Amino acid sequence: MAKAPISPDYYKRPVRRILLGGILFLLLGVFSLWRIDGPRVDQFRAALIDRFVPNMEWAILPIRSLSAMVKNFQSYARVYEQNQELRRELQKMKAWKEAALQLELKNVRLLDLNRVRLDSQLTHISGVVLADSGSPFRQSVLLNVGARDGIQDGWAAMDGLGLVGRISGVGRRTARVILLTDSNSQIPITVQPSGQHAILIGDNSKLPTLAFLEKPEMVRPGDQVLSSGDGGVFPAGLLVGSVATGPDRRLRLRLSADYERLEFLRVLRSYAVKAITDPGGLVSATNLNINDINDPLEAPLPQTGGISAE
Amino acid sequence: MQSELRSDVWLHRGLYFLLGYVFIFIKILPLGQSAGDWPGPDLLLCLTMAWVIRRPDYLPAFLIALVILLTDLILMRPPGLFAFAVVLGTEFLRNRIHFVRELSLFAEWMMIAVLMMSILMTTQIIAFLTITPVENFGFEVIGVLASIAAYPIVVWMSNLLFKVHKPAMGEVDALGRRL
Repeated sequence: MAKAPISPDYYKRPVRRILLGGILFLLLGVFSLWRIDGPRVDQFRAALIDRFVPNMEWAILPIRSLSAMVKNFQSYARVYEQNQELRRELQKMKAWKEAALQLELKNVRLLDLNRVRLDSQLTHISGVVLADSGSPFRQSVLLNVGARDGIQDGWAAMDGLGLVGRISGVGRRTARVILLTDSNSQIPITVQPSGQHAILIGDNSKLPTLAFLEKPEMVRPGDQVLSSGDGGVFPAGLLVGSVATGPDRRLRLRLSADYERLEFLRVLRSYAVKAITDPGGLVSATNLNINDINDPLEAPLPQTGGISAE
Repeated sequence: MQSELRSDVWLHRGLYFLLGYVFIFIKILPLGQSAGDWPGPDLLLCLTMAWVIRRPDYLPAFLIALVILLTDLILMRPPGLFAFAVVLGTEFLRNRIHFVRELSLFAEWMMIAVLMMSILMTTQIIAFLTITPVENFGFEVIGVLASIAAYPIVVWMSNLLFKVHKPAMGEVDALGRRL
């Protein structure tokens, strides 16, 4: 042997350095790509989750039912208390039922007087909650309906009672719902009966905050809050919750939807409201179909400024 | 003997990937996690650190990058950011492996605590520089503290279940070199 054998370690170090540099560069590259072109990376993310999560359904379902059983078992322990509680509630409900019946009659009469047609386009698709976001900083759930079922970004999701969130991120078989408690969630609302408009902003706590109220003194705890449909991105008139004051004395919202057990959600099909931009069209068009205007109150009024500028 | 040892390395690499999968799975189970809950420990991070210190050959940088990037994507974190910081952190350990290996468990624990905090700071600084929206910093710190608290338990469990421990005196790898 003329030459001393070269140990493989001799090459290994520099090669490792280069590979490591490549990996770090790649990771930063993915991050910067996400910063520059977020929607595309998020689409990729949705597609990845779409592949990944439904495959776990076989395991998710039994574990969920197991945890439900444990919860139910815990509730057996206080059956007596619950019984008393239910009796009290039933008593209250009877009074409410009476009121509801009277209101229904009244409503039917009023609708008849007005000849109001409810928006037939507001139908819904039901989906099952597949998974949580998995992070304490993100409040979202994954549904088992997706682009395949015609779901689109921005549609509203409700449970039986109230608004839960907004679709953001659609895969082929899955769709992500950003909950109202997420810090990225902001939706326009109105507070009834004062009719104040505001924005509901999630802040990763159980009670999201109300912001941009014009006259906060007109809003009292217990007032009902509905979605307002301002800006045309969200269907109007969906029940969201009731106003409450937080421990920090800010106006917050107690959500009607039961966030503790989100299992089945309804996704409302909503379509863009036709904006009326041409002031003459309303008056002169004889064949204007009145149904095209979803809600006359929501349509922007003809702008006088625009006319004077012409 | 030789092939046995080599397959042992690949077995543990596969196991790490599988554990990453299980970790994501447990995280996203819809068990009624509600807003404002305190974040729990990041067990995958603890496991990664523990294994890198004990057997760096089990976890090459590309495997760590792959698994953490996957969790970044699925758990809706900024993709690549946390993975970048974790790979940097584990390389820091790997380059000082002969020193780190001599530490007692307590000293190792303190070192991991500092390292986990630095990983958090790295992600926060990069996020700040790139104007990425960040989470509540206090909550993040609570999460890291939980991870630090969980670290010795993870070390103990991984020793118990997967037999990952520091190489004993005179242990050799597949090619007969000292570990």
